[in-house]
Amino acid sequence: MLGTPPPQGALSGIATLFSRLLGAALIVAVIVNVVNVVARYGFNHAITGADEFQIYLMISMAFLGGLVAHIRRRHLRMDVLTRHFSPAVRRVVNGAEALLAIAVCGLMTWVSWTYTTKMFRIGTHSENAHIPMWIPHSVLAIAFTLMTFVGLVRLFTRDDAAPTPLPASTPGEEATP
Amino acid sequence: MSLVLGVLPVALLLLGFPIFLVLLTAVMAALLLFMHIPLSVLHQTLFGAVNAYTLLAVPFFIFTGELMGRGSVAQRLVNFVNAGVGRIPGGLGVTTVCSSALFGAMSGLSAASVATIGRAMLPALMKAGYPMRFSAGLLTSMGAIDVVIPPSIPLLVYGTAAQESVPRLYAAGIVPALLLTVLLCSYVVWFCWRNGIGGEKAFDFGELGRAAARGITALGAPVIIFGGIYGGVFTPTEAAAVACVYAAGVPMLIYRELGWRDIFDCAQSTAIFTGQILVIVACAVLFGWVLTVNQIPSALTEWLTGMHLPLWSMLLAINVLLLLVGSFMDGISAILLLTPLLVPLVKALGVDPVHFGIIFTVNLGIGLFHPPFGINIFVAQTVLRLPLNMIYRGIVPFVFVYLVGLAIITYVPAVSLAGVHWLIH
Repeated sequence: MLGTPPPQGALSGIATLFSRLLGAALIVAVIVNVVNVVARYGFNHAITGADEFQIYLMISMAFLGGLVAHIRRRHLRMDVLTRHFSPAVRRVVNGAEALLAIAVCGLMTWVSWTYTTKMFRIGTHSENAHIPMWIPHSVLAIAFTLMTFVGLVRLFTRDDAAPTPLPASTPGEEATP
Repeated sequence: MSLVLGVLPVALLLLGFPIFLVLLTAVMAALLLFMHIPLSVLHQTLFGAVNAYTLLAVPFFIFTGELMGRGSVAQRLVNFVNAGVGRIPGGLGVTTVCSSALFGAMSGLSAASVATIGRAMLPALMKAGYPMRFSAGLLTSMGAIDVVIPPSIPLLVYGTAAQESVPRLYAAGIVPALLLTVLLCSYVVWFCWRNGIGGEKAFDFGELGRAAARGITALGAPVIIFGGIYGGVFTPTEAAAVACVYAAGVPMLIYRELGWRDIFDCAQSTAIFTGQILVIVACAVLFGWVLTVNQIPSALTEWLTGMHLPLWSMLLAINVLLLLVGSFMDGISAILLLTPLLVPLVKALGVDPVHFGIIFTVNLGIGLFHPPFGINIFVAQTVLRLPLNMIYRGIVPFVFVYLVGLAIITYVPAVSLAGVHWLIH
């Protein structure tokens, strides 16, 4: 971590942690799906709530995976003009992006936490798996909270980094933390 | 309102802001300034957009592609196809196209196909004397077939956005994908025949048998996917999950090439890629909802149909628009942004939305390798180490080949709908 400022180090650590958790979540989702198929055909019995459980894991991948992509600058974007920006112009555009991310993700943080706490108070559960609904809903709140934090870190650090153009799944290209 | 939902997103997109942020910004501005609806709708719609079982197939198919991209599956496929090609002009080029199409039928990932099959084929093409420019064009353009051939991720996303049946879309993709494969192979054969390239080796039944034996297990994934879905055994999501287990099991247990660490690495990069895509899916559904509530798609449809243009010219205009968008924007994002606007229009024109889904994905497939900014150009540049100017020059004839295919697919609906009639009805 030598030479990495503490906030960026923390962001990198958060990205690594969520990346591992989501990788494990994906494997669990695949296993649950296949076990359900085998149970249905082999034993004429489906696992109750398996579909809901997998969907909530996918919702985690969508928003927390989106958070990791945000930290690693892997979000899909149109970089027709930005490729040609000088470092100074890029710094200005990155600053504007950080400000917009703070405003938009900050508002989403408030909306999502409000919604999640309401779910918690009401005590709603999913129909089949009986998972308390505040849990999957809190994924959005956590993701937007941390995206706001990423925006703040980028706003207060010298940031002229260019986004990474390749999708995360291109073989031969490692994700940049 | 048009400033907030039209000019603002375009300006932010051009400045290179992340697409999910662009969409969220436009929606929030519209809600706060004009619509005065409780903001909880933001959370509800974002959550509801990805709360769909069909979408689970997206990470599962990406995971299958990631697993197939490691180890020797690609090389085994190439050997199998090459053994079947025999002594025809441009045999290795034909092998390249067919291997890429087969890899696409297992993974649905275009960039992965360019990287994986490209790495396996580039040294062989160079050794056999294929011109560098031709090889660069071929390897960069071949992956466009993979966004049409099932299990295509863009078709899956289109199905979700347009609320169309994924099995119908997959069935519709088969014949157009075969058409594009045949057109590309024909061009390769013609080019190599004219330049005296190829005829590398004679056809040998023994070699084909040995290659088939070595590659047969690699070919199991498409059998599971197609057989499972159209045999009525699995839903597309279940077929994708079973294909994941197969794609992990074969290289791990039979080829003994993958370990748990590799599988976990693949799972991690799949999860992040899923996040890249699904966060845009969620925001695009929200954006689409705002458009619909403000009756923008119906107003656009009314305006365009009021011009009383013939169908062929409307389809031509849509194709030009999609080619342009596809050259500058990621295909999945383009599908999510444009489907709510275009599907009501084409329905009003009497075009089957399944047929339109194929037209849409073929256009975006061309955009994947179309100069100046197709993503596969950058994959070929970074992963295959091909020079950019060589790729740009090499790609030109392949763009024309794909445009011929696109014209046939656009104006002959039976090409797309034949698979639906055969497999679904």
